[in-house]
Amino acid sequence: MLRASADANNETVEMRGVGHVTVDSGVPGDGELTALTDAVVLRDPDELVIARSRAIERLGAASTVRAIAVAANFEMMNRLLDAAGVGPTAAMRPVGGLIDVTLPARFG
Amino acid sequence: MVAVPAVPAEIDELIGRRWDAVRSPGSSFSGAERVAIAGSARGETATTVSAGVTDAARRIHDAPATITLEWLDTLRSDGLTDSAFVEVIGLVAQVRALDTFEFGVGRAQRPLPAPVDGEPTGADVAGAALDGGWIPTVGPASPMSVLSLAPAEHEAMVDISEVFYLAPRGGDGFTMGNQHVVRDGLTRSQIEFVASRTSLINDCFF
Repeated sequence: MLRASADANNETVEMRGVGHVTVDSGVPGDGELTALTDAVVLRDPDELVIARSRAIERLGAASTVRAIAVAANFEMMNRLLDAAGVGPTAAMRPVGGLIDVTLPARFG
Repeated sequence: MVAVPAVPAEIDELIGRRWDAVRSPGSSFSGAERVAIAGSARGETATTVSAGVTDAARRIHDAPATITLEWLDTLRSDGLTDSAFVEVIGLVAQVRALDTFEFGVGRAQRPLPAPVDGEPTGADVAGAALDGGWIPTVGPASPMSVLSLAPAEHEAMVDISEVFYLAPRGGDGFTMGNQHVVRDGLTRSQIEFVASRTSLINDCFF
């Protein structure tokens, strides 16, 4: 979906930036969004205070709350799909290479 | 230090609405059992549901990427029906989403609610079959069909998606079909960046 949205908006996104914090994805505020998402999903209360403050300073309070809500939504979606054995479609699999992440063996 | 941000009313209304559903009878479980499943997911000890259901709730909550078909088959051989398993999946995934959001905005974890009395409504879904996933779905297994066997949990998933992320449909406004959407100042690419990063952390590769 990230690649599709970037294409639709004529944006250049370096997909490896999703998985590698040292790579600039080209998405505005990606560093702040990465730190915020990591702190929220990994339930790190100390990092969360810092990451949320930095996100608010860079993106604003409303966008920061929205980013937290999006992360929460995908906490749900990831569990639905993994628990039901719904893996990536053949069309999705090349995205693993774009992000520079090796798909687990369970996906063949 | 920047203050904890305010939460929009639509999100607080969603959270209240969904916890009300969690504590109410579902298709395979009573309200008391559903609250116990929510507690099991959080790591609490439950006595009102079976060990298999407790195990399922905890694993879906804590380590979903480690779930295998063999493990699911073990639950089946212990008597857990696919409809009941799907209700557990939906319930636990919702609780995880609601708890994650409240953690993210700096709130304490919400106490489990008191259950609503009443019996399970029963599950009667026509046309479900194995079609790409481990559990029967109406149509090919996908995010929109994965909870086919528990329609109320599917509706809950759609409700949460609409308020937290984007509505799972096409059209203008806050929908998944709108690639140009901006919500609360967050562009679609920023929204999808957070979605991708979350999935990567969770080892979910859909």
